[in-house]
Parts: sequence; C-alpha cells; structure tokens
Amino acid sequence: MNEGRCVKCGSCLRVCPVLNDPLGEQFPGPRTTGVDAARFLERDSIGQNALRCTMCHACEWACPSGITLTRSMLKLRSEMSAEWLPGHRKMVENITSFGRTVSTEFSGWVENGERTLYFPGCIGLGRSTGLTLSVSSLLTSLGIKHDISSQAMCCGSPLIKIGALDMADDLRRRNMEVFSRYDRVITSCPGCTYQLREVYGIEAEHLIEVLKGTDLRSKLEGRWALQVPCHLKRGLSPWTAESLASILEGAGVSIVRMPEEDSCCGGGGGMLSGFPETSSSMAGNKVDMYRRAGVDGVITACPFCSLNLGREGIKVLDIGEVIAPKR
Amino acid sequence: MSYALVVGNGAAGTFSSWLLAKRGWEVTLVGRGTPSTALSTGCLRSGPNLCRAEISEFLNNEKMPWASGQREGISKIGTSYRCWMSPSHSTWKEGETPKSIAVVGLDGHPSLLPRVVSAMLNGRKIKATPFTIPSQVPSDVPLTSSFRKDEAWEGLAEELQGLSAEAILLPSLVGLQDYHRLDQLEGRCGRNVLEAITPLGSPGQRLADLMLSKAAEAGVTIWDGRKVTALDVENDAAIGATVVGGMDARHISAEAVILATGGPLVDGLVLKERDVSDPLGKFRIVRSKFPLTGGYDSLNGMLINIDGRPMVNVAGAGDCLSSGSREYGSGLTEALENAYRAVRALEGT
Repeated sequence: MNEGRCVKCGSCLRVCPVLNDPLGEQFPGPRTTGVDAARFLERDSIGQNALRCTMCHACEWACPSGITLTRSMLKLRSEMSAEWLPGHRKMVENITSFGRTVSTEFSGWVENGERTLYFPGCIGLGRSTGLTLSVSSLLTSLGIKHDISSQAMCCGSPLIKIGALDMADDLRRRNMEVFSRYDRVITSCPGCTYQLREVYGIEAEHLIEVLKGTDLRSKLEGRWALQVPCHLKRGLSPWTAESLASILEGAGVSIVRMPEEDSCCGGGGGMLSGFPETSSSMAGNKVDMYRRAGVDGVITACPFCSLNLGREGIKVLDIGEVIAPKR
Repeated sequence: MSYALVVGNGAAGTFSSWLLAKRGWEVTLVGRGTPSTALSTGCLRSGPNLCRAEISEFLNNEKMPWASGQREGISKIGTSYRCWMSPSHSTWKEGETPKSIAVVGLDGHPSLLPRVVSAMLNGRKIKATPFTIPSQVPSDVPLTSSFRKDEAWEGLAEELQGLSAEAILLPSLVGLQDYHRLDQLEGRCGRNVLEAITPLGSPGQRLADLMLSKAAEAGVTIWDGRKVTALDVENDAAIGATVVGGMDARHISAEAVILATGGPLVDGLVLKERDVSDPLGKFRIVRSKFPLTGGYDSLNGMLINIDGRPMVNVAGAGDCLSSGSREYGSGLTEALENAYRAVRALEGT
C-alpha cells in the first residue's frame, strides 16, 4: 500500500459524500480509515463507524498523491474485529443458506446451454426483477442468446466490503464452475462486473459495453437526468461511464446533464444494508437535486442506485429498460 | 485540425489546453487527482509579466468576480496576505484596511479561530472582535456542504445582524457555485464581507474547478480521473500515448503534447528519497541539491529527451519543469506563464 504518500491536504475529505451528508458525521472519514488506520497497531478496534463508507472511490480520484484509499479501507475491513452490523449479519446468513445477499424473487431462469451467460447479480434477482427481464429481452432482441443460470451465486463483492474474504473466496470457487461453461459473461451491475474482473479475472462485460456501437432507439418520453454509478465511472472505466450518456443521447433520450450526476447515491459498500438511514439521507439529497432540475426521472446503470434512489420517491430506470434496437 | 494531448489538470494544463483550443487545436486533457492549484489559496501572488490579458480572460467568471492590483487580505491564522489577484471578497486594496473587523468562527471548527485571529489583528493595530456562532459541523468535516442551502445562510445572516464592525471576516464557506452568496450576505448585513485567505480548502478548489470548466467550455475534451502511463515517441516526436482509467486503458494519437503533470507531491514527477525522476522514462531531468526542486529540462519550452536532443512536439509547463522554483506561493503565476510559453513553442512562434 502507498499510504505513506499522504500530504494531509484534505482533498479526500472535501469530496467524501458521506462526510458531506448531514448524517455522515460519525464516519471517521477517508483519511482516518484509508491512510491513518493502516499505521496503527490497534486498528482492529476501530469500530463499526469505519464501515460508514460507500466505497465510491471519490477520495481516491481526488487524492493528489495517488493513494489507493479504497484498497486500504478494504484491507482495514478485513482486519477489523468489530461485530457485524445487523444488516450485514443478515446478508451473511442469506449467503450461507441460499448463496445470495437477498431472497431470490426471480423465476425466469434460462438454462439452454447457450455460450453467453447474463449475470444479473443478487439485487437483479431479488429486488429489481423487472430490470433483469428487460435486460434479458434487450439482449435477445440484439441477437445475443444467453442463459440466466440459477446456479450462479452472489459474486462476493458485498462480502469483501465487510471483510469476509474467506466466504467471498468460497463463492468465487463455486461460481467459477458455472462460469467455465460459458464464453461470455454479461452483467448489469457495475459492482458485479468489477468483482468478476478484479477478483475472478473474467473479462465480464457491463451491459453498456455490449450496447456501444449498436443502433438503438429510445422508448421514453420526457427529460431525464443521469445517476452515473460510482463503480462504473471510478471503478470500471470512466470511458464506459461516458458511454452511458452518449448511448442514451444517440438513441434519442432527452438527457439533462448536471455536475452532481456522478456523486454517490449512498447505496454502495455495504451502506444500504449496514446503515440504511445514512443511505436514505444521501439518496434523499440527490433526489432533491434532481427534483430542483425538474426532470421526469433518473436513468442509471446500477441496480443499487436504482433501488436506493427509487426508495426516495423518484422514478428511476436502468439503461436496459429505456432503449430498444432500431428497426 | 491538429490534435494535442495535454497531461495535467492543474493551472498549467488547463490554461494551455484552453489556449490551444482557442487557437483551433483539438485538445484532449488527461489528468487525475487534485492538482496543486486546488491546494493553493486560490489567489495569484505575483502579477504576470506575460499574457496578462489571456490570464484575465481565462479566469473571468460571472459567479466569482476578481480584484487585481496591490491587494491585501487576512489569512485564516490572522497573518497579513498580499497578492496581485484574488476573488473580490478575499482582499481589499492595499492601504484601505477596514477600521474594524468582526472575526467570525464556527464553534468547534478549526476553519477560522476568532480569538487567535483577533489577537493577531489587534497586534497589528487593526481593531478586531472575536465572534463565535453555534455550529454542529465536526472539526474534520469541510464547511462548504453545510452552506449549500438557503436556510444555512439565513441563519448566518441573523447571527451577524448585531455586529457593528466595518467588515466581517468569515472562514471559507463557498465553492464556485455558491460564491454569489457572499454578495447576498454583504447586501443583507450592510457590511463588507471578507473571506479569510485559506489554503487547502474551498478557495483553491474553486479556482481549479473554474479553470477546468473554462477549458471544457472552450471545447477541450476532459478525460478526468485518468493517467498517461506511456508516451510513444518516434524520431524525437511524440505520436501518441497510453491512458489508463479505472480498469480500462486507451491509446490516443497526438501531433503535439504538453506535459503539465505537476511536481513530486501531486503524483507528477516520481519522488524517491530526495531525488525526482521522470515516470515516463523519456525525458531528461535537471536535478538540484535541494529536495523537491528538480524537474524536466527544457529548451525554448520543449522538453529534452534522455539522449539530450530537444523534442519536436513535446513541451512542458508548470511545476514539472526544473524552472519551477516551488517557493511558497509563487507557483500559480509561473505555471500560467510557462503554459503560455509551451503553447507558443508548439506553434513555433
């Protein structure tokens, strides 16, 4: 790790969406958890407030010295001895009993032995099943035959966020058996995509990457803002994040750009399950901003963003739900 | 149309991109991390000798008017600060020091310590009175986000109502979007509102934001959060670069390159013990016996390659050059001036 490069400039504190939220003051901040904690022997006793971070990578982007704060925070999480928060314990129980973070509501499994696997992830299978069906039919209409396998489990990303590395590795081994039957893996969750690439070493493609270069048309009326997912822009690829806007604009969706569109909604990093009130406060502030802009709703490319912002009462759609191939 | 690649998102990188775009180049600016510009006080300490008109146009912004000339202000620790150009609320014209100043701090927040600053000012024969207003903002949390909403400013205006001083000194509370709120507050209180000169805070960030937005307005493609990891060179000329962002990488072609990557503290030059070196491994570095003062060697604005020959189309600007003195507070003007020189060098004038 490269924490020693810290010059104590405070740039990470200025951009942290948690610290800048009225409910975020209990978070010790990215500098304490990402730089200072690594130097202290008693870091394992830092306490649960160190988990009040959405892993949005904003601090890492802002750091003038190129410190990999997110990596450092994940390491801290794996070394902490604090008890699991109720929401995190529930998630671990779910994974232990049926392999996913939330109960599976989806039933449209496709197991035809195709060469492509669509991997919707736990939220896509448990909370946003409409989104999953839309993405699946969009892929089909683009001529991409695919399976949706009931045997693929949680990617393990949420477990890494709470430091449960062994459990995450166990999931990886089980999933790799499933993935080995496919040539191509397509995802609709940036968190899953990041995990599959970084930890599994699979060249998983996010839906946006699949859509790039295809002729598409809008299925939407009205003016829409964007929620650019953190793990897409600052995790996977800023170019892919830029494609979110360009694909939608190219398809004829009326997009209202705003500077805060890429700030965190509060849904990531285990915040939504661990500290739901902070997630809700952060999402509420973003929704206020969208309302002030007078848009009809928000388009994103992440099931966590959809879920978290949608709960604050604004219409949120995934890119997979708003476009279709041109005829 | 010629394609230019500018590396670095600070003062030198944004100003040279803006100049190139204005002169008809197609420019991509690649930069990651907070630049030194954003860590500065957001003021120009010394007046430029070169390209004054261009700098004024580049910094011009309707939200945040500037004042220039012999200016004086008060730092967040109460010391006197002199500069040539600052946002209008940061300074006054030298010799027009307010007769009395109310120094306003937020309870429990270190952004401006009213008693310390007042004592410093009283020591300089400026009548100052400390005033603390209630605040819930923890000491480690920046203030700007607490002062985004109208209610916060209503509350502040009410707190300041009874103050009788000629001027009110506040900690830095506003980003670029909210700068007009200082004017509104001044209107409501009927007194001069001054912002303490504050490094490592919103004034520097504001300046960096302004510069980047000006470059974008001029048509520069901004590749933020990305880093140039390799430069392709043929016959002493750069032809392209590898750019990495997230887990992704792209190749970009270029007919001209400006390196404005900054000094060793901002992930520009590589710092090893007391020595600096070129992360791209292409260019000659001038080393100095003083730590942090070395940098890229250059001849008439063009960088010198490791074989000792000047590059045909790679210029350097800002803190990565060996000319960068890195003396406290001198960097911004110097960075802007040599960004101008770099652009002229590329255009062969």
